[in-house]
Amino acid sequence: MKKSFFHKSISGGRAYIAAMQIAAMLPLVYVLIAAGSYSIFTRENAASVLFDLGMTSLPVWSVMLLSLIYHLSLSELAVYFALSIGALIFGPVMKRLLSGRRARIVRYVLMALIAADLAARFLPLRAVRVWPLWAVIAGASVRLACLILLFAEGKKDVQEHNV
Amino acid sequence: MIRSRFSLNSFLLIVVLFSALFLFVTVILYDMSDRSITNAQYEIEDTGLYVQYTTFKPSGIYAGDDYYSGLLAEGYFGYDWGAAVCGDTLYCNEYHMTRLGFMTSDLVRIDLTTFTKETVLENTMLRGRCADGSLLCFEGVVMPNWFPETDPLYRLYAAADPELRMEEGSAVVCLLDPATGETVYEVRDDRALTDERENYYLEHTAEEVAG
Repeated sequence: MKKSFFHKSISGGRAYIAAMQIAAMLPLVYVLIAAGSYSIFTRENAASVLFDLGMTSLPVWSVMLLSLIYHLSLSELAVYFALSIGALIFGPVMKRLLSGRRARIVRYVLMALIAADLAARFLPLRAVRVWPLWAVIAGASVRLACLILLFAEGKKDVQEHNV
Repeated sequence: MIRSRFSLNSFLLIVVLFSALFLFVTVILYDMSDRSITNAQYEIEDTGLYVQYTTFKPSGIYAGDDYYSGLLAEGYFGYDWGAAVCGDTLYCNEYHMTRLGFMTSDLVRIDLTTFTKETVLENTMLRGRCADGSLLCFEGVVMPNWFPETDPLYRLYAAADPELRMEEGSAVVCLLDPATGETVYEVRDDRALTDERENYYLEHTAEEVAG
C-alpha cells in the first residue's frame, strides 16, 4: 500500500543531505535582499536570523572557508555562489556515496566528522564565537539531530544485515 | 505516464540560475548604469600631493589636483585626519570596500620618494595626531556607520580574523611613533569610537594617556 507523504520515513542520510542543503540556502536570502536594499544592514530582521541559523548549522570548517573566500574576494557574491554551488554539488555527491557499496563506511566517517564538529563548538573558536548564542545552540541542535539520525540509520542497517 | 519528481537539487539549481540573473541585474547592471560622477581632490597636508576620488580615472595619490597630474599610488586613501606626513613618509588609511556590505581600513606607509606602499597595521584606522605628534590609530574596526552589530555579513567576515572587534564602538587604541612606525602604547577601549574618547586621545600625549 502506498504510503502518504506524512507516513513516509526518511533515512538518516537523506535527512542529513537535505538539512545541509537547506542550511546552505538560508544565508542566501539575506544576500539577495542586501543586493537590492541597503537598509537591511541597519537592524536585525528575519533574513539576518535565517543567515545566522544557516551559518551555524553548517560545519565550522566550511564557515571558516567561506570567511576566507570573503576576505580574499571582498565580495558577497563570491560567498553567495560558493554556498549555492557547494550545496548543489553536495546533494548528488553525498547521495551517491550514501547509497553506494561503501555506504556504511561513509556513514561512520560522516558521524565522526559531525561529532568532531560538535566538540569543536565548545572550543573558543572565532568561527563559533562571532554568532549569537541562540544561533550557536540552534545550529548545534541541527547537527546533533543529523548525528542521531545517521546513528539510527546505521543501527538499523546493522540489524538488517545480521538478520 | 511520465512521472516527474521535483527534488531539492532541482530547486537549488533553479535558485542558483535565477539568483545569478537577479544579482547580475541589481549589482552589475545597476553599477554600470550609475551615472553619478565623483571628482574630488584633497591635498595631503602641505605636500602638494593630492588624494583624488574620481570616476574618470583610478583613484589614488596624484602629483597635483588637475586632470593631467600623474598617478603616484593607486588606491582609496585617507586625507585630513586620515593622513599624516612625517618627513618623506606618509601614513594614511587605505580603504577597502566589499561589494555590498562595508568598508575596512588598513594603515599603510607610503614612501614619498619612491611611492612604494607598505601595510603597517591591518584593520586599523588612523584618526589624527595626538598632542605630541604620535599617530592615533584604532585597530580592529570597521567604519562605525557600516553597522557591524546588525550585519551578519560582518560576522561572517570577522570569523576568519581574530583582530576584528564585534562590539560597535570598541577598538584597540594604538599610538604610533611616526618616525619609526612602532607602537608606543596600546590599550583596549570599549568606547574608543565615541567623540569624547577620541578627543581625549587627540588632546593628550602618549605619556599622559599611558600614565
